[in-house]
Amino acid sequence: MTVKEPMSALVKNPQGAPRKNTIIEARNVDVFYGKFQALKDINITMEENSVTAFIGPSGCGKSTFLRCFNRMNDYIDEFSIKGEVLIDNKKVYWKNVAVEELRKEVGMVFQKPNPFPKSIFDNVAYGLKIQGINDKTFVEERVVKSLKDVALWDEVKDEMKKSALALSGGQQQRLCIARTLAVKPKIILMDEPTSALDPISTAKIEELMFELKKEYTIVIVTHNMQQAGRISDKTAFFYMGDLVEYGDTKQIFTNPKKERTQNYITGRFG
Amino acid sequence: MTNAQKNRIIDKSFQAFGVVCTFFGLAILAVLIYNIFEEGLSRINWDFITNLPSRRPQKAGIYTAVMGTIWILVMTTLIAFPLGVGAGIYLEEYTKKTKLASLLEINIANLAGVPSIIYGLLGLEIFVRIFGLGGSLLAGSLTLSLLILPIIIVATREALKAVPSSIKDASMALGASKWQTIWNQTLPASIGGVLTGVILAISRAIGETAPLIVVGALAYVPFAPSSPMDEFTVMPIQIFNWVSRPQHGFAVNASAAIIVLLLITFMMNGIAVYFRNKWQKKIKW
Ligand SMILES: Nc1ncnc2c1ncn2[C@@H]1O[C@H](COP(=O)(O)OP(=O)(O)O)[C@@H](O)[C@H]1O
Ligand SMILES: [Mg+2]
Repeated sequence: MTVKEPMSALVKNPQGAPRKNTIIEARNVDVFYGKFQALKDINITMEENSVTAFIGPSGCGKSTFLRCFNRMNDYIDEFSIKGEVLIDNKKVYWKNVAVEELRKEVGMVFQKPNPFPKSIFDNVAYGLKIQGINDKTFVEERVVKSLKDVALWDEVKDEMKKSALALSGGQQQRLCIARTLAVKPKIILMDEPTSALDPISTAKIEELMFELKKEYTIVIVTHNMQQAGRISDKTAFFYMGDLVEYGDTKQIFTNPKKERTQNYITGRFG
Repeated sequence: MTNAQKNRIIDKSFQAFGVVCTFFGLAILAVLIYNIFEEGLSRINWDFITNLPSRRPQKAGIYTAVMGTIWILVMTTLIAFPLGVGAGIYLEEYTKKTKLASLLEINIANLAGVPSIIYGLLGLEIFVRIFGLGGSLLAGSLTLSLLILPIIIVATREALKAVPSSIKDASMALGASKWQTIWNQTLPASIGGVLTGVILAISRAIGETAPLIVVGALAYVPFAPSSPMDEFTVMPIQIFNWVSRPQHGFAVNASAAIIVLLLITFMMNGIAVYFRNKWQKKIKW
């Protein structure tokens, strides 16, 4: 991710209607854990400023696929991948890619809120600190902006020095999102970000996603069908390592082409 | 008799047995400590700490031994702390979990149980003879460092292992390098455990006698050491030397020196406990 080609945000297609840019693309992706094949020949493209939901039963490979976009699978000794993953038309698994740079572009929010055992401020500032950014006013502004973006600022503005571990689960998860926003990624990956939260916190985070989508591209794994239906533009249904069906969320939920998809979203198996 | 009654009796008798065992150990310890304090406490004064060794027990002091122990303590820490913690970090955070790695792990754990005299022989061959360091402080410290490295490595790894991987994931996902993650997250969260291990290992080192005798520490050193290449003695050797003398005055000196050594060890263990408590209070996941 060292070379950045300039790229206009919108490209007109022949009909003249604005067409969004492809920002994530997978071509013939196979993933293995040792001999076990976790993903089979996955092909998919995702557009800028869209929300894509990954659904499917547990163990079908959603997290595995998500982690291919920021290479968080690199630390699993048995992991291997074939095919191409492209972000901004750049090969993610090209050998000269600086993984650290990639992850500044592609942020990640985890299933269980995982704030650092540090102050609220230090949590949000961490990504900037490790980039060597020391300009105090710049960091402060970015921290405040990020906390405002996740609607946490009003709740924590008087106790920025307090340990992040003292926050509630929902607040912690919003803090983790703020921490990701602070490095200004283009893409935010979310792996079941609300599955450990109560309904009110969940609603807050869903609301947040509508806002975030204006500036970021979001890929979210969720087990909650309603959630996928509410927040995503496109939905991808995975089953046992296959991408069974991918399309507009509305179409997937009202008129799926495959029987397996139909069965899953109507709750006949899962 | 029903089964429940039988179980209750077994239960009670085992409990009684446990109590007897505990008190047996404590009683012996109490008798030992009482004997030593009764004999040696009145001998402890400033002169005893600051006097050089002498043939007359009333004039003899532990100055050279105390200074030797302090030199050994500082030098061993300087050598063993970075090496042990570094190796622990490498083994825990950088190596892949292969068969070779687990073999290495088992062997390091086993090294911690090797009798200290073996380390002494190793030190004699390598540091004293091959490196030509002679019976110097440096040879002694290097030998003791070998002895406590496995303990420090194992303690470091345990402390690092206790840091949840979710924290490391979060750091890496924000674009931190491996080392940045270790430096900013893993180490601060585990430093209490690491330091506890290091201090306990070093407090073991200052009580060691056998390997230092093998390496060539002397029973009688006229002056306190002033450089790492100097000859030296340490407190346990001084004590051993005094105990083996016929005059009663030296036995009193030995008791007094034991009290001083005990105090130093207790102090170091106290510091270790302090770090552990502070660490446990701060980090709650
Ligand atoms: N680190 C790993 N080592 C070996 N197998 C793994 C590992 N992580 C996941 N798997 C396997 O890969 C498959 C997909 O897992 P995952 O991507 O976590 O599924 P999902 O997120 O859809 O529940 C599962 O069968 C799982 O057992
Ligand atoms: Mg998953």
